[in-house]
Amino acid sequence: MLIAGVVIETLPGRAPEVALRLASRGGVQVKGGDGDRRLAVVVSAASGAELERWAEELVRDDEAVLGVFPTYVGEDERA
Amino acid sequence: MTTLSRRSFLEASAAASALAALGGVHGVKQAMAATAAGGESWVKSVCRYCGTGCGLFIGVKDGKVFAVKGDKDNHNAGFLCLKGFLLPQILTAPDRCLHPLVRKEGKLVRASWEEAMSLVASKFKESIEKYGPDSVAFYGSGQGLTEETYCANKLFKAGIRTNNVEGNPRLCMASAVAGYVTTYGKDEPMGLYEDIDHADVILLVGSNTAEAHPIIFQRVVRRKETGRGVKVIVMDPRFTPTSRIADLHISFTPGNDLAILNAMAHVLVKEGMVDEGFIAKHVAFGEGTEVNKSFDDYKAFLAEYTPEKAAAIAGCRPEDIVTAARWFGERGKAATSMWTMGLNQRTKGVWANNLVHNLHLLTGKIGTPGNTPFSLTGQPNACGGVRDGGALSHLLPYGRLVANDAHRAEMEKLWGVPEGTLKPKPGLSTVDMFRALEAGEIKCLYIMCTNPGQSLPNVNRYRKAMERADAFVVVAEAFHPTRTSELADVVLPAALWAEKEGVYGCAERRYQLLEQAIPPAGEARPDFAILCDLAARLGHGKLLPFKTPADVWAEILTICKGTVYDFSGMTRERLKQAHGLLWPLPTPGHPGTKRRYVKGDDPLVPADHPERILFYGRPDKKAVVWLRPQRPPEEVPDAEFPFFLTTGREIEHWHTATMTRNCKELANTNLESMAQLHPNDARKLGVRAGQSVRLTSRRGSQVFRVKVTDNAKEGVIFIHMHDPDRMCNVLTIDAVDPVSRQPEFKVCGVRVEKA
Ligand code: SF4
Repeated sequence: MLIAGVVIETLPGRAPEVALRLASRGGVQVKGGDGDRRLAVVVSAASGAELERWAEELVRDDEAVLGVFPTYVGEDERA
Repeated sequence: MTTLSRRSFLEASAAASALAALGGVHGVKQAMAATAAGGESWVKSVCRYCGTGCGLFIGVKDGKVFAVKGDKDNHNAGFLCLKGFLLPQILTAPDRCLHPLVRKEGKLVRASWEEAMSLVASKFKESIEKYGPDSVAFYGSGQGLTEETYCANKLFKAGIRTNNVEGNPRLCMASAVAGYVTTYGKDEPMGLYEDIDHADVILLVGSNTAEAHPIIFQRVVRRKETGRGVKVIVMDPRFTPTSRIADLHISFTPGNDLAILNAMAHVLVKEGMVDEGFIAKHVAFGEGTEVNKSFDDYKAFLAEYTPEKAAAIAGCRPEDIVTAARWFGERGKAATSMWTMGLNQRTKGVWANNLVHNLHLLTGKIGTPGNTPFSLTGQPNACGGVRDGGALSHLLPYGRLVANDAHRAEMEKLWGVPEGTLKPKPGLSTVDMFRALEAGEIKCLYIMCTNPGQSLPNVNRYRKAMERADAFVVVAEAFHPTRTSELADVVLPAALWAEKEGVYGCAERRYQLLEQAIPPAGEARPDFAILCDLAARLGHGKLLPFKTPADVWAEILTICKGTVYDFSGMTRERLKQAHGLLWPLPTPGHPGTKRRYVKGDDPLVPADHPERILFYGRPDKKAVVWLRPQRPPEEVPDAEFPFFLTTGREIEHWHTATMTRNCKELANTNLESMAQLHPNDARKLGVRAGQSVRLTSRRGSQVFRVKVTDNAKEGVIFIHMHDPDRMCNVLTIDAVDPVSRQPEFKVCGVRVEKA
C-alpha cells in the first residue's frame, strides 16, 4: 500500500469545493488548504500505477483541478 | 511513549510534507494558536539532519523552541521531511548531556567545566611532551559548524602541529571527493539541485534517495510528474522506495556496478552517442594515476565491456544496460546523475565515481541546465566544514594539500605561524587513526559531534581501542550516553543546533547561516567555545583569539580568498539576509555560482574564454575519462559466509539515531535493525518474519530479527545502520579504498543461522 502526501492546485477560489468532493472519495484524507487554490491531502493507493491513475483522473474529471503534485511517497509493507 | 504504526508514520509524513508545501504546517499553526497572545519569533536556520540542507525557520517563544517551518525562499521551497519537522524535540531530549562528566574509578561522574577542561589539557600536554604531537588526534564531523571545524583544524595542525585531523566524512564522502579531484582536478559538484528540474533522464546509482534525501527525492518526483517523458533509472541491488518511481530498475550483485557503468559507456561509444567535439576540446584520458591515454585506447578498453559480459558479471539483464545507456545518451535530452553511499562506501569507490563522471564527459552532458554529475552528501556540513575547510588528515583549507610545499607555506603565512610549522606528511586517515589508537601510538583522541563507537566499520575492534587503559578519549557531544560517550574518559556537553550560531554548507555548494535561537541547555557550551578554551589551556590561545563565531568567519573569508572556493563576498550580513548562497562568490555583490566551470556563471572562467566550459581544475584544463576496470569488492560470499551483507538507511532515522530516537514519533518506529531477507532465502533457511537469526562475518556476530521482503535481492541481506543496540557495524569490513581511504560498509560476506 502506498501512502502519498499530495498538493492539489485548483482554479483560484475553488479549493474548498474540491475539498468537499475529495472528502467523499475513499482513500483520501484532506489535511488542510489555503482556502483558495491549494489543498494538502494524503492519498492511499495499492500501487504507484493506481496513484498515478487517481491523479490523472482527478485532473481529467474535476474541471477545478489544475494539477496534482506529490510531496511525499511512502510504502506501507513492512513485516 | 507514543508508538506510531508504520502506516500512521507514513500518513503523518505525507501530511506534513503536503502541508509544508502550502507554507504552513499544522504543528506550527497549532503551536501558534496556543501562543495567540504573540511574542513568538522565527529564527532562520537549516535542518540539523541530512546533506540536503533544507532551510527552515525555528519558532521561539519564552526562550523555548516550539516549532519549525520550512523556508519557502530556500531551495526546499518550504518543504521539509518529517525528521526536519520533529527537530524541536531533540533540544529537550532526556539524554541531552547537560554537564561535564569525568571518568573516576571506572564510572563517568559529574564534574565542573574547570575540572574537565584542565584534565583534558593536562593529558594532551603530557602526551605531546612525552610522545610528540602525533600522539594526539582529532576526530570531527560533517555535522560540526564550519567555524568549529576550522578552529579544530587550525589548533591541531598549526598549534599542536599534528596532521592527525580526521572526520566522519571519511566514512561517507571521501570517495566522492577523490572522484571529483581525479576527474576535474578540484572537489565538489559543479551543478545544483535546480538541475533536477531540467533533467530528462535522472540516473540514481547507489542512492536510496527516497529515504536518505527525501526532499531531493520529492524534487525528482515532481520533475517526473511535470516534465514530458522524464525517465528515472535506478541502479541498486535492492528494490528500495526510490526504485518505485523508476522507469528502469537495474538490480545487480553488490560491488559489480563498475562493469555496468563501463558497459553503458561501451553502448554510448558503439551507438555513436558520444559528443566528439566536446571530447576533443575538453576531455583527456587516463589509466592508473597517469593521464596518458587516447580516446582510441579508451575504446579498446571498453571493447570487452559488452552489455552481455557486464550483465553476466553483475547478474542483471544486458538489455537493461543498453536501455539505460540509450536513455542517458539520447541527443537533446538532459541527464543528471546522483549517487551517494552505494558508490562511495566501497574499496573501489573512487573508480565507481570516475565511471559516472565518464558518462557525462563522453556525452558532453555537463554544465548546462539538467546536465550534471551530482554526488549527494550524507551530513549537513560534510561539504562546508570538513571537505571545503580541509579538516582531513591530508588537507589544508580550501583545496590546499598538506603534502604541497607551496600550500603549506601559504597557510603558514595566512595563519601567522613560523615557516615550517605545518608538517609536510599527511596524518592518519580514520581507520588508520583508530588502528593507531589500538596500537597505543595515539594516546589522546578528541572526538567532536560524532559517534564512531557505532559508526566505524568492524566497530568492536575500535571500541576495544577506545577502551584501552592507556587511551584518553574526550567526547564533545550534545547527548549522553551514546555508543561513543559511554567509552569516554571525559564527556564535554556541547550546545546543539538552535543553541549556537554558525555556517553549514550542503551538497550543492550552498552555504547557509544557522542563527542562534535559544541559549544552550544546562551547562552545555558551543564546540567553538570549548575549542577556544582548550587552545588557551594548551598555550595556543593566539591561534584562536576569537570571541564569536562571526570572528572566525571573518578569518575564514581571508583564507578562502583567491582559491577556487572563493566566497570572500559572503559576509556574515549577507548570509543573514540570504536563504543560502552558492560559491564561488568572490565579491560582496556577486550573486553566487549556479554552475561551476561554465562561462558567464563561474567567475573563475574568463568572460572571453572561447568555449562554454573551462575545466580549470587541472593543468591541461581538461577533465579526465578514466579507464577503470571492473574489480570485485574486498570480500565476496564463499562457502563459509555465503550471503552478501549490505547496510544503509531508512527514512525514519538518521545515522546512529542519536537524535531521531529522541523524537517520540520516531523512537519506536523502525529503529530496530532487522535482517531483511528475500522470501526465497527465508524459505531456504527455514526462517519466518519476526524470528531471530544470528549473522556472523569474519569480524563479529550479532542477533537480529528477520524481516522478509520482496524488496531484498536474493542472496543479499540488508540491515540498517541506525540501531544502537544491534549494530550492523559489528559485521562490516574495515577494508578501505586505496585512494580515498573510505571503508567498504556496503559489501561483505556473512553466514546466517537460526538463533
Ligand atoms: S531532507 Fe534532509 S535536510 Fe531536508 S528536512 Fe529532511 S532530513 Fe532535513
